[in-house]
Amino acid sequence: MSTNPWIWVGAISTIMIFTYLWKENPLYRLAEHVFVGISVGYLICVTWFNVLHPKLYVPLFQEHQWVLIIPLIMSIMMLFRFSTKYGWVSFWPLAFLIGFSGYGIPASIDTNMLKQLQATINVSFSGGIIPIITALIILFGTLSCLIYFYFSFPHKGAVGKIAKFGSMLLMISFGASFGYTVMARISLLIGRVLFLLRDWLGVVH
Amino acid sequence: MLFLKKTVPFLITLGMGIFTFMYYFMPHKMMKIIWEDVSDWAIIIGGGAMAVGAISMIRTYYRKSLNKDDPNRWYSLITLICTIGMTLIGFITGIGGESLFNDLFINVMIPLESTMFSLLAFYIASAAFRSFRLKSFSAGLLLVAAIIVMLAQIPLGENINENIPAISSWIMDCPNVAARRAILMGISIGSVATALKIILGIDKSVFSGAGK
Repeated sequence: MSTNPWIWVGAISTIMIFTYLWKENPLYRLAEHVFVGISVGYLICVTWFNVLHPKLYVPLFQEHQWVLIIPLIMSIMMLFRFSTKYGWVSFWPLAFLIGFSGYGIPASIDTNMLKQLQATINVSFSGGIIPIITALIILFGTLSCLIYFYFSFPHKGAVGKIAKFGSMLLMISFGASFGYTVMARISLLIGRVLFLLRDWLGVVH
Repeated sequence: MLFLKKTVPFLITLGMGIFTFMYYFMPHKMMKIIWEDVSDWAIIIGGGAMAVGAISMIRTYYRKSLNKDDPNRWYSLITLICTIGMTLIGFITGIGGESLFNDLFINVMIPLESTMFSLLAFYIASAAFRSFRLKSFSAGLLLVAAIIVMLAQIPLGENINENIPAISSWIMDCPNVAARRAILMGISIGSVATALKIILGIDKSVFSGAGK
């Protein structure tokens, strides 16, 4: 059994969360609230030390880059969010941040639309029967999935059949994603159980 | 006053939207210099937004902890103590590798977080029992794809049938790619439409909700 107090802290925290498997109880709720509290504290410190200190405090107050007064004032304007009367002041820095989504418009069209279309159209039809079937499924599968999401005309007749094929591919994709998610959670669970048995109790090597 | 409340935020959004849109197509040196400065400003303002979130959370838990009618108020008090404690420790000891702050992060926060997410393994499994009933052909496809992908991740899968890893790879590279591409295109169209609505001032709902 470990003699390291931090391992004991980690083990007790782990067990407190695992008690939820029995039912919701005070130990779990305590651990849950401790987690929320230290997460917020962690974020505050990380934001200060990794963002505000190197990008605002040092350049402004030590290197005297006075232009940074503008984002400082805009950050302070954010705090007006809590005021009923002057809450609108916080809209200005918010507008500045939201305006950044302009960059996302061409980036999204390029990455998520044109590049995907290009990859779908340029799919290779060589290398044997299985690669050809794979290429056909990718080409017609993408098209049929798009038709499945297109609701401007009824899904009847040929369109209905294509949409049905699209929904089948979507189901396979969701199943695969589900399988991956389950395995990711299981590996986390194995990690925690291993921590308890190996690092804390020392019964597994 | 309406000018300050509505028009100025709209003009800032429009101006920033046009500038960032143009920067994508014109990565000129001057544009790049402005972009880097403006990006830093956005990160700093994001820090201010983070402060708003932290203050809002502290206010909420402070109010809850003072409510004597609430039997769970002690939990709110614990959250507040942990928030303030972790923040103070971070500012006193720093956040470096040898600090108490880092010890708390590694030995308390990470175990709590990973255990909480690992709990989902049990609930996902129970949800699977309910949703994976073979009620239709589509549900069957979902079930088969999930089982193959899960089996391919463990040695047992290859022991059952040596083709299972290859089938899993094919599922990920073929039907999954087709479906994902269609979803990505849909997301792209939706996000572009939403961004344009906000930048052009058609949707002004983002500039509301202050004072709460």
